[in-house]
Amino acid sequence: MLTVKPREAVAQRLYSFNNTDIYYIQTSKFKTNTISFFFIDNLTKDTVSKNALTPAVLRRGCGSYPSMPSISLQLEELYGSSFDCGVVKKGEYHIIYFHTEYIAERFVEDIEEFFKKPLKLIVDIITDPVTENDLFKSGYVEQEKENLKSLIERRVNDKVQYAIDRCFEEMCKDEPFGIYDYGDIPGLAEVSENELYKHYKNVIAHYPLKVFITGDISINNLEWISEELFKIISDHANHKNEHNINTNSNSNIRVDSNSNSRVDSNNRINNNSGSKSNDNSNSRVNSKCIDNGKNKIEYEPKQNKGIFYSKNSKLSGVKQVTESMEVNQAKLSMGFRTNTSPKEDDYYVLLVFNSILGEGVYSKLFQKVREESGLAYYIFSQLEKFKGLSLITCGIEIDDRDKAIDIILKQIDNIKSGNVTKYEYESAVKSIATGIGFLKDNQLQITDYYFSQILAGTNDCFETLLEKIKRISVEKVVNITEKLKLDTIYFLTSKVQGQGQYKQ
Amino acid sequence: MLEKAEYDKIDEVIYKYRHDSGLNAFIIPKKGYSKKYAVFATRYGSINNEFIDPYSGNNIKMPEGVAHFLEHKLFDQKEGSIMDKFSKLGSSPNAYTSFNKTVYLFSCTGKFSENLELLLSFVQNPYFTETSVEKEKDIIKQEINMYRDNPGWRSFFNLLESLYTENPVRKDIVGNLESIEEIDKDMLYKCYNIFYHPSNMVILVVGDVDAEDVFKQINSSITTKYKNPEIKRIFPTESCEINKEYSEEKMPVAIPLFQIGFKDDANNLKRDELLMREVLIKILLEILTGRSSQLYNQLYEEGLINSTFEFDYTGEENYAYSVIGGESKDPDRVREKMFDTIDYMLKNGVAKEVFERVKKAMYGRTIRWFNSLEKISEVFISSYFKNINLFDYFDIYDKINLEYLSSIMKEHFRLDRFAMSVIKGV
Repeated sequence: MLTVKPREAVAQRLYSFNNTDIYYIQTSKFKTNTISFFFIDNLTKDTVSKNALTPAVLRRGCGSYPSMPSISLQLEELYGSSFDCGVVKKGEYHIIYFHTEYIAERFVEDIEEFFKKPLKLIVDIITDPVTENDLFKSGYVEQEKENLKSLIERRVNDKVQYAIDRCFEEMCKDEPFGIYDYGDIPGLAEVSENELYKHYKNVIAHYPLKVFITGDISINNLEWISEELFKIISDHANHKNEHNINTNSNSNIRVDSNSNSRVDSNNRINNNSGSKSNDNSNSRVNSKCIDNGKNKIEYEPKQNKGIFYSKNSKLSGVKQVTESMEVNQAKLSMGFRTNTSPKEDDYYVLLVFNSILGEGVYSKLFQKVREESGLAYYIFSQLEKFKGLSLITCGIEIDDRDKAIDIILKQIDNIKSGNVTKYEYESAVKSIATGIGFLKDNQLQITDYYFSQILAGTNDCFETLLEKIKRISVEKVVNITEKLKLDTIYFLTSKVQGQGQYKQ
Repeated sequence: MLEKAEYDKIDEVIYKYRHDSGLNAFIIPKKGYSKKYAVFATRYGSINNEFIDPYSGNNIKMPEGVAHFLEHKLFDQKEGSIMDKFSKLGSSPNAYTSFNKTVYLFSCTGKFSENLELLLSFVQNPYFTETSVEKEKDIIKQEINMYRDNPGWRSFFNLLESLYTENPVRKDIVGNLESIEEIDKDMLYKCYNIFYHPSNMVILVVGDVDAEDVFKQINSSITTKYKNPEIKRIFPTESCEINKEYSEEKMPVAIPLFQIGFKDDANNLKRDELLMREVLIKILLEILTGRSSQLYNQLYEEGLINSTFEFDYTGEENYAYSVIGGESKDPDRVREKMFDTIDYMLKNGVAKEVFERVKKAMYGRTIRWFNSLEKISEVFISSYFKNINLFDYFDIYDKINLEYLSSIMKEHFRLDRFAMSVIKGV
């Protein structure tokens, strides 16, 4: 008999066998229940495209619902339940996820055993794909390769996100983290139908799997859900430890960008009555390699956009990359190495440091770059938890590049020399505390929070995280700047001077 | 006077309080939530550029982007930026301007009444100076530039410019680089004094709070007791005809973006009619192009659309339209196929089972809104200014039927009322 302690919003492991863990997060305030599946891989050039294609093909159809419209019909019948799948990188892990959200049974009168149906659907999609001759249906694979290709190409549409992702990519060009979540076009083209199906079988059988259930579910129903999951993963469980994930190597230090709330005030206009969402934040950046070198001046004339590598004596040892496109506003991103893993105490110091530097309206960057200098409308800094990176980004006038860099670096120097006011420090700590409180009000964020804890090898619940944050002193924040190293400056601009050379 | 309404079907309650000044305040308690969310909104947005000053009787026309500019500057107070005070409480204030409203808000976990006090205070106390207004222009210029580089935003406003000839909804909410130069502090004060009277505003609090305490606080913090003369907003006459069928712009995009819009006529519709029209057109759009539709799946399989494809309907008293859009290598082909399907639908009608299924799905999604304090607030505020109660969204499903759906379909999907906007790569 399953026992579940009545603990609100804490992840309880119901079952664990070999490569699979099932967690339940009990919470009664929501109208919905959710189920999420996370298959975990290392982020590598070899598997990135295959991982990305797998959920894309699976969502095209399954045994009981063999096409996309039939899946959508079923979701509509289930009171507009949602289903989503895809891949995401967390540091140098590559995660294949499947997620469903459906209204709680208390709102449903006309469907018997309603709670069983969304689970059956998502399990079917994952385990029972439409096949032809022991391969995925060929048309599905071809179409999804095309779709993935355009998804990679369209990263450029969202310039704000593009400037963030490109900076990270340039910075980690020779590391797995430099790989885009959805891979690159040459890698995608190489994936054969044979290989893809073999890969899928391997994912299901061998990849470590974490399942998270949230909501208010009776013990009986939880038991039924678990039994259903046993059935589908029994095969999975027989292949113990065949897929090794580097959990201990340094390269797996990462940041969870979701748990770091961005500066809301950057979003002043929200066209609610305008009908279309203009948010392209789902489109991520192209890892399409700009080949070559460190600190060399180079130019790729074949590209629509010119990309330059240059060196500035003031910033010796810092990689500087300039890319040009037809834009009205330039984007400046500065990438740093924090040299800190999320398992270290210093990681909590970094959270406070980042907040003081550029997370809220009280932060140094917002105050100096926007409010005092009027150089930017948006500017913020963010952490990449798992990989140990930090990034500052803003949108500015093309001619203001050097001025902005100076002011930004001066803010870090200020912290380094102990110039942190009580107001800045206290606002930062309180703002992080508030952000932790907000996480608890969203089922997806609660799930992501615990999943990230597991990946990082940490075990903080919301309260212990908060306690640790509150203990961080200003001195610690000042000292952490010693570990911070500026690595790459990325500039997206429209202005290109001379032949293959960006003049400082 | 405190009023309470209970909606047992979805486990929600709403409290209402009416202040002497004509301001209405509402509370939707959310037990168990950490977040507390409050908004203070005025029925004044980018389309309200022309009006009659109720004090002088003069006809006034403002430069584009004034409402949004005012929103930025209201955060400045005599003693400095109000942001600092929110930061000291660990909360985050924010604001947004849309076509027909400006919304100020904060979210917090603790010290709710201190936060609410700040919100009520800064929205009621403007402090504009020449210098601070001039300085803000640099920041807003960067905001304008950011939107100029956003292809989705550009495509949307190009579409509205095609659908509308005169209506100010065709103009960008932020204004443009020239119009913001004209703005000065006197204009901001003038607009503030007219549109920020409590009788033109609403307060909503969502979260685990005590309704009575909150209303007491609002009562003592709203200083205005008198009612305001009615504001006369001036709208140019706009015919039902569209301005032009097609617009195109070149930007650095990898795949063309397109938006197809149908201009709708919701003029003079009130409350229930407006709500019913909105829900029915959304059902029709879902049936026509939703994920389970033949059209969507045909376009998807032919590689003509991808997962960015989406649609929505906006129905206000002065403007109404539906928009369908996404990315496509061949937007013309998408349009052709869509027209064929509309043609077919108009001739053959909608099957009852399809209508019932989509209705059920939308009902379920409406329940899901109530997970998110932000969503509750967003829908509440935009409904409120149309005299619609948020909870009417649940009851409406019992009132709509297939016959009404068919008649709305014929009114809305008119091929002489459509326009298309395309953003192509450079």
